[in-house]
Amino acid sequence: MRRVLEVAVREFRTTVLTKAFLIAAVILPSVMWGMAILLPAVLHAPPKALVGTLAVLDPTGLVAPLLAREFDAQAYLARQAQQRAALEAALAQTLPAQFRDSLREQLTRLLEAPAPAVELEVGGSDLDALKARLRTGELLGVAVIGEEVLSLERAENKAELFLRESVTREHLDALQGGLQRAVVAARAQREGLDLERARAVLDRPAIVTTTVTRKGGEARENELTKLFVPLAFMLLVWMSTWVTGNYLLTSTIEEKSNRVIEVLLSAVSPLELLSGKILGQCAVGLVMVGLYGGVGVSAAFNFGYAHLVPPEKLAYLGLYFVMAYLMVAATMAAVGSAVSELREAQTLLGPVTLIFMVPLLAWFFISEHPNSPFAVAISFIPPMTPFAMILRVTSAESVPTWQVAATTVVGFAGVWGMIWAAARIFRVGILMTGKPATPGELLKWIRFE
Amino acid sequence: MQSPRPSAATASAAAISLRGVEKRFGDRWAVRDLDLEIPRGSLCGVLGPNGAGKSTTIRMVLSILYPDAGEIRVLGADALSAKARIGYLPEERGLYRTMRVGEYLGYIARLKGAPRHGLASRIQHWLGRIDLADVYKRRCQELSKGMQQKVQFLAAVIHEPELLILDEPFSGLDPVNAVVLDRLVSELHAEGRTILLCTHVMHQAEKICDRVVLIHRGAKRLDATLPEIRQRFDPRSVRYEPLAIDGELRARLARLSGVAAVTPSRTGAAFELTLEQGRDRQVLLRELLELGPARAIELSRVTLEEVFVRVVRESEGADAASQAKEELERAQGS
Repeated sequence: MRRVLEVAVREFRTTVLTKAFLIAAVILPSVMWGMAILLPAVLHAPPKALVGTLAVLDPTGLVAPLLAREFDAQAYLARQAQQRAALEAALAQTLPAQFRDSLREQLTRLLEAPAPAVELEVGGSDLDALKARLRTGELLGVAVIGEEVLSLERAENKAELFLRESVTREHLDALQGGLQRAVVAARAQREGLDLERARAVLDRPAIVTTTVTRKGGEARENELTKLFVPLAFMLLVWMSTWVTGNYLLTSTIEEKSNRVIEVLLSAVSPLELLSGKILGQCAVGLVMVGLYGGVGVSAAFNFGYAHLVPPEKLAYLGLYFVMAYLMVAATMAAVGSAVSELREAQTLLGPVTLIFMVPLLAWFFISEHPNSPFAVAISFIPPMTPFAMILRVTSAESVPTWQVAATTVVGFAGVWGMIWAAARIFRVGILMTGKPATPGELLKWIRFE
Repeated sequence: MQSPRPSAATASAAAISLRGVEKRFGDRWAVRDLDLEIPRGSLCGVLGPNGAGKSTTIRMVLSILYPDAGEIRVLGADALSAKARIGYLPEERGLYRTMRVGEYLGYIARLKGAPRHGLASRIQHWLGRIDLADVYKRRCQELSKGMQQKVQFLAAVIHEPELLILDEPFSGLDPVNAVVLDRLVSELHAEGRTILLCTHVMHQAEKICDRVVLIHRGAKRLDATLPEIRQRFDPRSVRYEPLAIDGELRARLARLSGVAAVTPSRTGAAFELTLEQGRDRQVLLRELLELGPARAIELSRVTLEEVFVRVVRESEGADAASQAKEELERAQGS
């Protein structure tokens, strides 16, 4: 056991205490996390007021007065206050408090643009002359509103807007939005409709869904919990097991290719070496799960989603990480011992990886239907068990307890079988040089006494 | 470095004892019915052509491979439990490229059961002994090839093993480093450690080994001390190099007491005088001196290379003969 621990400690140290690991596992995610928070603040520039003269060619005479109201400072501020209130109400209905606050802060920034000072010039008819004034910068833009745009027949549902150079995206949005709203209001006027009332009628209500669980509780449910929480858990298991599995693969190939393996085997048995490597990389995987999982859990708590990561789900995360890791590690160790180069390993790993990937490819279906025959069936097939089960137990629907227990037994039986086979391949393959082994040869090595 | 102190129970046992050991890979015999006894404290050279079964034998002694049949005892115990008391320098050897030298040596020593206490100073001491005192914190990939080979050698001895197995330890070494390693091997042997030296460098084995085992086609062909080998393969000849050669000299040499044949050297400047069986070389030496002044008169001595070639040739001839006999018997039987 002492020698196994020596190997494990070396594996752990040489993987974790490297610049590559620090960059890939710690610095890069931290930088990305930081950028996601800081960049919007850094890149946010205070919006400028829309100022200038907008020429309007409006033969109908209906749109121009309504457009003037759109750009009236008082009306603008009133509309802005109305939008902010509507946003508040929407956020209160759909999002938890802390997340709501953060989002509100971001969105209100977008609504804090100062009132515009746009002067309308109505009555002109020579578009070319107006364009010439645009080129000189005298005008901000020219709006051309045809009769047909007010027709409900929609033969030509468009108005034209000519702008001078260097109009910002925000100002373009403001001009387009104002023009669109003015046209809609003109149409309503022409049809004798109360636009505000019509808007109120068309305002779709938010639907708050509550699931009554078999265990007697009630849970507020939305697409986020139903689909993305299981996916997040599974990706965490997937990423941490495959990344550490890859470390195991490369370190095995390295020991083989740099010929240090024979020195090691003169001190430890192949099984001790294999156990030490698996144990050491398992610790690396736990560091990664702790790191990413910790960030995820803290984010969930921070944004008011703590109910999505209850202790039992975190316990499942630990259970299925260990199960998945041991399966991936057994595969990687066996393949690593049977080849001399990483390139050769990819050839052998391809078909095996496809089996592991089935739950990943079917995550949407499994998350939506965690108790479907397909989801239940693949839960009982190692090496798919841990990946399928983490999707199922973290989905909105509860999974029967007997299935959790039975798949755990089946999963760990699969782990035992895979490690047994890997150990038999490892003891033969690790001393082999030359051409990589074929799948047939690997099977022969398993049977070889 | 302290001398190895075998326990009382194992003190009298041979360092390595193989009885009827066999190993097959598929349908190919790697080692066949091998009996071998390496006495404690000896420096034994294991010689053999490529594919003879030397590495397989060593791997079985180290429990890297397990025999299909037979028994292996190492330092009085079964091979597996003696693993930590053996130092091994394989022919195909390497280092962890990015690991620091001190770290690497410490790791291997700990795997071999060396106590952590005082390990760093022991490593530093050994590095000093091979003129690498300043490489403790350097990464292995930063060392020259010769320096790496010396570090690899240290990895085999850092835990102060009782038995040291060196597979081609001098291959690729420059003459200066070869001398350093040669000196270390001699010192370790003088401390009472048993050393098994596998090499193709015959003159190296001849110079430092006190015993030689020749393995060919998985079987032992020769196992003897160097004096025994010299006696058994004594060429019974004298090399004579006269100051001047005249036309009659070869005839005169042929007439000397007990001379069976006179063979001139390739350059023609010397002669090899082969003695008849049972004749005394001292008499011939006296008569050669009486012939007149000579540049050199010396007793010829067989080299290990000659023994190697002869034994391999003999064993291949014998195999061929027994194969032909088996084929004849089968033909007669049908």
